Parts: sequence; C-alpha cells; structure tokens
Amino acid sequence: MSSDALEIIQNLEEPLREAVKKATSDADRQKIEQQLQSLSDLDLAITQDDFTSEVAKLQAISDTLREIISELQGQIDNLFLDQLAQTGRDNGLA
Amino acid sequence: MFLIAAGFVLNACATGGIAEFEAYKTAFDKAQTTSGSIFDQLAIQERWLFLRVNKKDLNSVAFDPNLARYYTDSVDPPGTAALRASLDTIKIYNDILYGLETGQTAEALAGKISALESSLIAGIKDTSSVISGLTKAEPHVAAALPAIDAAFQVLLPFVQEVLKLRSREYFRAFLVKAHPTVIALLQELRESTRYIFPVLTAAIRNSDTALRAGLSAADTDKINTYRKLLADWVILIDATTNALERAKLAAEAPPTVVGTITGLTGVAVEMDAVAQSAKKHLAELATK
Repeated sequence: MSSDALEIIQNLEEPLREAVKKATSDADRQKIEQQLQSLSDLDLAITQDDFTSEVAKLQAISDTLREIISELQGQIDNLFLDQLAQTGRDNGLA
Repeated sequence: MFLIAAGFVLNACATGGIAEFEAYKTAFDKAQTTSGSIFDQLAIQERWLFLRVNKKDLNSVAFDPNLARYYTDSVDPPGTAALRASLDTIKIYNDILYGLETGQTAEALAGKISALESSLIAGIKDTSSVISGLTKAEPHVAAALPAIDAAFQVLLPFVQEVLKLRSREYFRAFLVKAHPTVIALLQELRESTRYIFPVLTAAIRNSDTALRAGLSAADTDKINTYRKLLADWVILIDATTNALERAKLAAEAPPTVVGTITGLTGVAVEMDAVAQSAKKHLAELATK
C-alpha cells in the first residue's frame, strides 16, 4: 500500500530532522539534508505513481460505461427508426 | 373497479424506480458539484507534483509536446482530466436515463417523426405540383395528402405514448444493466481519495521548510482541511451509491410508497448537510 510506504518515509524523516538540528559540522548537516531530499524525492515519485495507476483503473471503468452509453444511444436511435417505419406503415406511406 | 385496480398496477409498473432515480440523480449532481471544486485544487497540485518529480527534464532547451497538459495551466493535467471525465461520463449516462424516464426523449423522438412527416408531405406536394404542372399526372396523390396529414396528427399522441412506454422500458432495462459498472466507477472514485489526498498534500509536506523543520501548525491545519473536504466528498459518493442501489431495486420491483418517501427524505437531509460542509471547507482552503 502506498500510504504504508509514505508513512515509512515520514517515520524515517523525523529522526533525520532531529539529526540536522544536532549536526556539529556543515558537512554533516549537508549529508543529512541530502538524505532528507532523497526521501522527499522518493515520497513524490511514489505519490505520482500511485495516482497514475489509480487514474488508469478509473479510465478502464469509464470506458466500459461509455460502451454501455453507446449501446443505449444506438437502441434509442433504433426505437426512433422502428416507430418512424411504423408511422409510415400506418399512413400507407411505406 | 377491476379497471381502476389494473390502472394502479400499470401505473406502478410504468413509474417503478422513477422517484428513486431522480433522488440518485440529485445526489450525484451534489457530489459532482463538490468534485469540481476538489478537482480544481487537484489540478494545481498534480501539475506541481509532475513538474517537481520531472524537474531534471525541464531544462531551458527541452520541450516535449506530449507534456503540454502539464506545462500549461489553461487545461487540467491528465490525471485530473481523467477524473473529471469519469464523472462527466456518469452525468451523460444519468441525463440519457433521465430523458427516457421523464418522457423527454420520447417527446423529442415524436417531434423528429412529426418533422419528418411534415417534410415528407411537403416534399410530395412539391413533387406533385411539378408533375401536375408538366403532365397533369397523379392528381389523386395531392388530393390524399390532407387526409394522410390529418390521420398522422390523430396518431401522433398515440405514437408519443408508445414511445414513452418503450422509453421507460429502456430506462429500467439500462438502469439495471449499467448498475454494476456505475457502482464500480463510484466505488473506484471513493477509493481514489486514498491517492488524491497525498497529491493534494505533497507540496505542503515536501516544502523546503517542512522537510527541514517538520510541518508547521498552519501546514497541519491545511492538511486537515483537505482531509475534511475529501471526507465530505466520500460521504456524498456513498450517498450517491446508496441512492443508485435504491433506484435499481425499485426498477426491478414495484416500490412501496411509504418506504420510498422515508428513505429518500433521509438521504436528502444528509446530502444537504454534507454539501454545506464541503462548501465550508473549500472556503477555509481559500483563506489558508
């Protein structure tokens, strides 16, 4: 689950933030900040991948519904044509 | 007496599911209104997320036309566009069923038939006058036209009634047929909130300040408002799903009047409360 992965990232970030505060040299601070940045990049990549996968699922179901709508519209058109033919027959025009 | 009873039975058959479908349609419209505001927010955050994740490709010499929807803010980025399209598809489906259910489609079809009949009669008259002018042939065709037209005008209300009955049969058949797909789509939209929420909050939790110092009180407040807004939307989707279940059951079986009214009133009261709540949370987001 994505939320699990994002939670793990959040849990990893918290001690790193504490470590930034306690860093005694610029080099240490930069190293920890880079780790935080990597975790952030990972967070964003997971967020985007999950969202894209979910959208694909929605699109597949939407496509199925669109097919049903096309079928329905076809049947309505047939209803019109059937009735038109019947009207023509009733009037002796066909 | 038998005829009156038969009339009630026929009326019940003809109207089964209509009140329930209208309640469902109202519920869906409320959910879609709230969705529109959420998607406006989502479009901004989806674009930000994509550009941030792909920032290495966004140098000063590269332009990928396939990413146009991400570059410009004049249209929705692809994910948001797909979500909006999903709801629009349900809306189109609802509107078609509504047209069948209310008789609007039948009236439109009868109108088309009437227009075609008029143009046919006019066409025959024109042809007949040309022919008679040239050859004096077929005078009986022209003479019969008023009678044909009059017969059609007498038949038109019956045509319309037949179309109405047929269109209500279609309404019930397609309500039942499409039910699993529409329910699946509504449930997937509900499920999508799990993945929409991190997109909405990505910029907040990954800002430079939040990354180094953690979330501020204002950040947490804004994230909580997004959570409430999505929660309102979930409740509206749930109410819509329940209303569609009722409509489907009613279309399959004659409804009991008391059960229908009681159920629909309860749904309407809850939907109004949640729709108001969503408006409040959107207003809060606008000021944060």
